[in-house]
Amino acid sequence: MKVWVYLDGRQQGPFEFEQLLDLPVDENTKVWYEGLPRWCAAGELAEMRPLFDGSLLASRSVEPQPDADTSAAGQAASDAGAGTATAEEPAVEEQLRAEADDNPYAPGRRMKRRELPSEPCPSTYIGLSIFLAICCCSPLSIGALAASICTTSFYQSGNMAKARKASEWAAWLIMISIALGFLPVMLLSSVFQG
Amino acid sequence: MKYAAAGLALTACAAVLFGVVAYYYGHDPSDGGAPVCVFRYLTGYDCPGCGSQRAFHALLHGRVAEAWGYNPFVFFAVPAAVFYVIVEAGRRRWPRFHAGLTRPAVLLGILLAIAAYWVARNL
Repeated sequence: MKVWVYLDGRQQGPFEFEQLLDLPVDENTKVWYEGLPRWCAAGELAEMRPLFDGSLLASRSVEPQPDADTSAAGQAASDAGAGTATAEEPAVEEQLRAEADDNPYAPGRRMKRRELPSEPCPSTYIGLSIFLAICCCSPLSIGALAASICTTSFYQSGNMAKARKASEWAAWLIMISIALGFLPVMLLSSVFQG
Repeated sequence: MKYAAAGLALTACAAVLFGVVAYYYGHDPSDGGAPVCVFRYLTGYDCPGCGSQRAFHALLHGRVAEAWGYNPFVFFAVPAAVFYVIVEAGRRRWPRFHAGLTRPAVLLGILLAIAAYWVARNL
């Protein structure tokens, strides 16, 4: 099976299916092969399953041919761009742009439209933050909520790196507030009231 | 693998929940011995969550009005927290729903509601 992939902002290929193991292909990477109506995320395709569940790796390590494999992948990667696309292959850039327009996290029309990251918004942990607000770790849970807000607003302004950072902050604040909120509470209550 | 992990997490949550419910059903936090809020211990002011343990105990015994008196915020915050945990868990299934509910404006509204309640109950 010949597979084209969309990596580093350009379409590359064709690759043999086994060669995808040597490329940074994850479940969100757009791929296309003969028979697909459009480019799809690799994670959505049953044919790509062996790539992620380890069965392809296992089948290869049974008969290792490291030299042949890596050089073939290197050769293919350097040939990328000059790949021989077939006539009916959909234009990947056009489709990705259309999908970004369709991104549910896109700000409303009133806001100036900016280019949104193609990845989904990092987790905001908003449910846990609200829960902690009523579990007596309030100052930090307010901080966690603020970090959640930063996550979504950085995401909407197209800054994926900062959004990810803010999401991490939210997670850390939640963990710290659980640790600070509950552990001393147990000690205090047992010392002063028990 | 995925289902095993989810099952394990669910079982752990159910066990913790069962422990908490059993503890609060048997023990009245008003009698003392229950965990004390650090914020209240240090500053003397109520936090948005103060009274939630007594409210929970009262609710488990069906005394809704008494629970409302201890901490009315619990009645909104617990359903909201559970709702958001479900929305977050199902974000792949309902991406638009999730995106709409995690917009900065919505989250800011929640933060302001908590902050307002916090200030108002200490006035």
